[in-house]
Amino acid sequence: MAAIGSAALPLAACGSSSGGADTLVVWGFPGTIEGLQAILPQFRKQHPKLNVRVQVFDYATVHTNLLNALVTSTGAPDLAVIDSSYLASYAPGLVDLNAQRAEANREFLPPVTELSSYKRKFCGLVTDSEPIALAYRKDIWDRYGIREGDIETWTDLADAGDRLHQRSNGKVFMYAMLSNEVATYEVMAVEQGFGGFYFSDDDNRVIVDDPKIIEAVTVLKRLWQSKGTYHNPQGGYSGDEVTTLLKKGILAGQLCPGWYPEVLKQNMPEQSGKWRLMRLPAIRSGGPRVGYQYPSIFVIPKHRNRPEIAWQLEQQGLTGAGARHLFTTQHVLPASRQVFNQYRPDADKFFGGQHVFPLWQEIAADSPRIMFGDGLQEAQTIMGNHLSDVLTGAKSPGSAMRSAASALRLQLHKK
Amino acid sequence: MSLATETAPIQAATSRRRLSRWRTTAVPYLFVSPFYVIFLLFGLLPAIFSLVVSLYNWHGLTFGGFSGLQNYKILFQDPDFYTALKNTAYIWIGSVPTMAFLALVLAVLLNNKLGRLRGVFRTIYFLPVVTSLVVTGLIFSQLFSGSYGLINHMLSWIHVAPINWLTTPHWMPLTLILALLWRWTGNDMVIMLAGLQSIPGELYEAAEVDGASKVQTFWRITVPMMAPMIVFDLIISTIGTFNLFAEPYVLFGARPIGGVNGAGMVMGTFLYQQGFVYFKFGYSAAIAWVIALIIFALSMVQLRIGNRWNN
Repeated sequence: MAAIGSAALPLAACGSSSGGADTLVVWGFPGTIEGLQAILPQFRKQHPKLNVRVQVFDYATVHTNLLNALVTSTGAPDLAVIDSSYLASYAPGLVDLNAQRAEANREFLPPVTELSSYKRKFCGLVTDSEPIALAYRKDIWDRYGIREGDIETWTDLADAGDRLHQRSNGKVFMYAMLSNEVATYEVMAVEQGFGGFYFSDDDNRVIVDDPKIIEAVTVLKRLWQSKGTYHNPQGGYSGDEVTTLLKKGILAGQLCPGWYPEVLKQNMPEQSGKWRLMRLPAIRSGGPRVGYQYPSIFVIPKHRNRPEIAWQLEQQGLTGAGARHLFTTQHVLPASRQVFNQYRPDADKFFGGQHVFPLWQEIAADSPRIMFGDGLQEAQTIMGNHLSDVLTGAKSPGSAMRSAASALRLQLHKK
Repeated sequence: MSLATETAPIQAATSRRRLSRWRTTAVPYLFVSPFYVIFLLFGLLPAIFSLVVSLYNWHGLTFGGFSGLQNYKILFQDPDFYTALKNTAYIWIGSVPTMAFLALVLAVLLNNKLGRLRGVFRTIYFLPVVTSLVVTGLIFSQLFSGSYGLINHMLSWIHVAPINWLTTPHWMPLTLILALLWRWTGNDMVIMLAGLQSIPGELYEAAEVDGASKVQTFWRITVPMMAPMIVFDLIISTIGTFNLFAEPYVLFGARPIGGVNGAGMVMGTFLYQQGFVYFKFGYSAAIAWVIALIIFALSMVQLRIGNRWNN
């Protein structure tokens, strides 16, 4: 694959190099770069004349520095990790890897290559797979007579939350939400068939005033109004306060993207065996029960003179030993087909012996095409403010979503 | 001897005088020029460049061309701008006068009462200023945490239900004000203390002879004599508040910036969000110029009031 990839890659014009003629520079942030670092000795043996310099920055610094480098066409690394929510912003400055797409599709689980594509430009390989499930405390649900089979829709979850809260004399909550809850909104948008969350699949239109979205937001409001919903935890659904509530047994369930189980395991090993994972509830009975979050992507900036070697390094870092190392040290769900399949048969003790990998695979397979559009982060903020109007009762879902759509169109210059 | 040979010494003397005059005039400029060169390169030119950028539609890697005052028009229609402005104004009103008053009172106490312990207390009050912002953020997020914070725990002793200080919109600015008071009062106190030490002691002696109480002395002598220092402090604090960034960023988190509903969003974080999260460089440059104009206007008002007060 590497040989084919090298042959097909376009050679970009030589630009200024921040690492010197014989140095390949890689920028990443913690939690993404460890697999690549692990295979460096092997890679150096393959390229004895090449010096590889891996620079680890924090999340914000990588993004700011890369943007500066791309804008000024100077100082960019040969390979960099970005969050997929920024993909559209950086895409014009990245090498198009479409010639490698077919190979990548064979090597990686769907919908990975779509996630790292923007407007048909394939920009790189993702570090992990991030389907979303619902994690819950089976022992608490059992104690208060809540059964997984009873929860098919979000309204069922809200009703079960009411019962749980009442039966526990107000001591236990089912779910935690912010009043600008975009995380659950995005799940619901995907379930309604909008893989661009706020935008159409071609990223040209704002879709938040679509009747299906208004229906989803109405359901979101019902969930917020449930007595079993804990309001405004500090740090959101995966922050410190939720961790404390989960640890104390005050919160009995939460959104669970592919990276989150290992956070649970690290933070509350004493609860091993008490947790379960289930498909997310649907908007309507019989509807899709899916959700997908934002993985990180290795990208190759234009204006560097060795895209083919950067591609080899990226590929080796995210497959085989590199992907295994990333999984075993950072516990992110592998996107590499081979590594995923290696761990697929394993029963997970933390989840009571449940086989969680097949569940993740089902969710990923059922997800519609996910698209990270231009202005995604701004859309989240604007939408969050309007969702707050709905959840706090200031506006109806229809009125708030029409207002959100106007704001998004004005700020993001979309139809 | 020809005329030419006679005039040559005169010309040479004139040249020397000119050179000497030039040296006298130019050398001082030469000495101060490093500042101006650096100011030009890193102060004035970026400021002019940002003014130019504010007139362009520049979004990340997409350069959309000249857009005139469009960025400013969009800014004045942007509800987030008004949220940030309102929050900043609220924090300014809540923190700046309180901080100046507390700093003055602390400075007076340190100046009068504590003698040799003055240095110790000055260090203690100044300590938050030099404490790492990350540490400050962590301390305050632990103190004000909704479910395990010390403040809520203490409130529970008097049967007050837990408050989500960091995620409930109407409590968030108050939490920020408290954090700012904790962090910056010591800094203002040192400025005030320097001002107090320049007030002639005879004034206090005269007041004592006339039988003025401590409170009367404070309001009739200390405060008027400290007027220029108080105005200076208010202007510096106003500039600081409108450029506030690190405290709300650390306290309310970065995703989303400003926390729940943007209730912790201030002008500084709003600018950062537009520029370095959304990559809207033209728009964020427009925000920067609006902030600069607001600070300029407020500073002028404070200076005018200060001048009247002094007179």
